[in-house]
Amino acid sequence: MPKTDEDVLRELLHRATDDLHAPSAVTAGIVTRHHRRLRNTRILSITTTSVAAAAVAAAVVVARVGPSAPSPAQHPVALPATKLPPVKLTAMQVLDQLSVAAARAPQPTGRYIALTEIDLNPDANYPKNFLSELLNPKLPPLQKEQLEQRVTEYGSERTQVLDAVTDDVWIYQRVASVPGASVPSEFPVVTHWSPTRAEFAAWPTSPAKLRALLVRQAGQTVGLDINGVTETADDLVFQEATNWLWNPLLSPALRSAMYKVLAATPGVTVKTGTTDQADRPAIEISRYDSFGGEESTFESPGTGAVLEQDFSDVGPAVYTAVTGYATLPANPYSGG
Amino acid sequence: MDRKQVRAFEAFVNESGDALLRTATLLTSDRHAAEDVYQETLHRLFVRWSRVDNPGGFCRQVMHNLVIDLARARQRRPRELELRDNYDGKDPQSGDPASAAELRPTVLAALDTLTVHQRAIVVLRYFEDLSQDEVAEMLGVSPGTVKSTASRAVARLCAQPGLVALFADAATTA
Repeated sequence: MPKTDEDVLRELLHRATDDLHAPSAVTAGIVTRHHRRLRNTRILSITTTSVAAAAVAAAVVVARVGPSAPSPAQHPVALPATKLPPVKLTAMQVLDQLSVAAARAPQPTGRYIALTEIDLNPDANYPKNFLSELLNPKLPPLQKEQLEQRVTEYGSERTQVLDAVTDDVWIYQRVASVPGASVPSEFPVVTHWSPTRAEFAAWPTSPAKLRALLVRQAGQTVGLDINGVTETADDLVFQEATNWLWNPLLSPALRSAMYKVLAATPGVTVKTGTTDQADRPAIEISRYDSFGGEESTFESPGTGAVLEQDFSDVGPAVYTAVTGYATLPANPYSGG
Repeated sequence: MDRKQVRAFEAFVNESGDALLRTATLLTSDRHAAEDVYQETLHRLFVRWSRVDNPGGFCRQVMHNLVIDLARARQRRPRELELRDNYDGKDPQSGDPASAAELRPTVLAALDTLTVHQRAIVVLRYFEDLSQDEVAEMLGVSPGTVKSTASRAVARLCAQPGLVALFADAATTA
């Protein structure tokens, strides 16, 4: 029996693509990128370099509390406690304050920005003060090394190196469940993973225009009906804004505008005087989406930098992820 | 999302990732655009994983929407230059890479002659092997529209210079 044109077309479409295989780094990248949406503690630490080979040389710690300009050498854990205003502020006022703080905070410079996350498995029964100990800048190198080893016993550790120019991201991961696992020989590269610094610079900083852009970016899922519940534009604006706030390539003006967008988004609640899971002073910004999931982001009151982001969906949340601790290989391109 | 759900997501990607990337390639004709569409689709799936009953269907829907966005964007700006090739690994269990590499430009060039809508129907119908009703539901059109559009698109593809001989050979050698 002769083949129909449809049969031939089927065969051609498959034959023409049978050799294409999905890059495995993408899955790891997506899980990494969204760990902040899981129940986690995220301590953001940023290392910037003008060249990849000198990744650790010019460290800038963004997460800092207090009105004065941050010192590059200062560590998040060493920051002084914030004196919160004695008067009650509305959520909008607090977000406006964050917006002002973000506008004044310095932006990490350099082409390569390195972020490190540590995910701790809550079942691993790690000590309560483990995170703050781990991030203690006064810890002697030997003890620090010992704690580093214990991190990989309790969970996993990932580093992402964002290229501010080409929008590529290098990711490597050390996983506790794999004995002896360490830095792989090279970073899996995920292309077009983050907007470049120049692309971010082209985004509008007017809150209304930025909100419109965020809606457009998520436009294909606005109104998406998932199991009978419709996701609203406000759901997506909150999700997009908190997602982008994480990115260290945002300019101060854009970060500031993101907070103004949040201030104008219905359903956003703010809790001041709280701390993240590493006991750093923080402002918690939360919102329930149309599906009943609560998303929270913990920000540094002094800089508007993200300290921690949580997503509590239906069911127990199990991840504890910490970012901001680890050193980079001398050369992220080769891992050497 | 808990650890079990993350594992389920990873298992879905392991099982369906290649097929999704191939669909994206057929829909875009551009390897890097396809990779971007693939990444963005999985990103959106991951965010909604616990709420999505049919991940494959969700991915196809999102992918189709992204491709429409991409087509609009391309009207406004030129294509990016290709920097490198990320997924040319050989898999002895599937197809002949050399043959695929030779055939792909011809097939993609032929698909480029279709509209975005025609192309989506061809890919969903003949690559994803969805029924007319399933394609109609996904694209929000009637089954009759799917049938007539697919018919016209196949006729057009058969007439493409690079594919005429392939269609004729296959028909006579069957």
